[in-house]
Amino acid sequence: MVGIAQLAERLVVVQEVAGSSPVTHPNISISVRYRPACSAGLVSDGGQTGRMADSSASTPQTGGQLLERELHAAEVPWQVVVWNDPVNLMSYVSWVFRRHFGVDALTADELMMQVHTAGRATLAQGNREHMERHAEAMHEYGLWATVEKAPR
Amino acid sequence: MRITAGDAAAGEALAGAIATVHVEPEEARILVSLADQLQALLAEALESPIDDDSAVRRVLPDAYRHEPELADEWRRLSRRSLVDRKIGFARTISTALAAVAADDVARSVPLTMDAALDWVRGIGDLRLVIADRMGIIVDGDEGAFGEPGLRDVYDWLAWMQDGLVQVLEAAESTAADGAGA
Repeated sequence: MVGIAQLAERLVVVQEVAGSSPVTHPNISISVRYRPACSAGLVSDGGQTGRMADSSASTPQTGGQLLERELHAAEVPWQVVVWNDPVNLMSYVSWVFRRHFGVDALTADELMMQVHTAGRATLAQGNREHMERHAEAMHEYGLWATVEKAPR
Repeated sequence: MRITAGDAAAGEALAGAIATVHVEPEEARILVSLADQLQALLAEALESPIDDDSAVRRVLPDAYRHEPELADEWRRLSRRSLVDRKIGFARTISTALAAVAADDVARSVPLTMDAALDWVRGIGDLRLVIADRMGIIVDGDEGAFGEPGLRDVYDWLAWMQDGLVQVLEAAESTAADGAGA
């Protein structure tokens, strides 16, 4: 994330540029790809193939100590995680947390700082469908959110 | 450009306006151009079976990191409506600014709460795409790619987004106070 304080100086330049200078022409293209697609920063690492949680029919262990039973999908706890990115503003992320998750300003700032410094923060836990809705809302706000199994 | 809280736009009062954006034609043309490109990029992403554009993966990331089947299922179920909404955010921006962009005098554009929410998210998506085009991958990257002026536009959009957040916060706290009274 970036702080808005870093932007104070830039603003002057931009207003100038956008107002009259020929440097910034409306024909700025964002359709041009400058890098090969595979070198992107935001790809899921894809290294580990996770097991499906709700179909993880636990194999009864004969002779072992493990006594497993099949969990109903609703019993498996999931969580939604928001990841750090180099683009979104700290003020924006904090506002999104307040607005969407209904947390107070202090909590929102703490969670935002956790994302910023630790790289990720868990925003909610619950059933998978519910967490997916949170993730979709975060994507709607342009934040990088994923759903994962909650640690138990 | 100037973003002001309240519906102070002289002669252009709009019921429910929470902010006024005073915008120069040149600024409007840049924003309309960018918002149109974003809509095209998103529409293209809907048609493409795989996200081979890293910018698209930033705007529409996977919802699962380690469960590809779940990621695919989620994408199948949610992508179209999510993309439609994102296209809508960008369209709100280009529609609101079309008249200023076509004119040669600055104007004040009033924003309702809904419009401001569209703007703040559309501008956020634009920044994600531009960051990708500039090669901004981790915190502190300055961006190794991109045409001249792109960095300025990127920071200008950040400034706009921060201004809109402040305006939205003010409007939301006013609404909350009103509801509590």
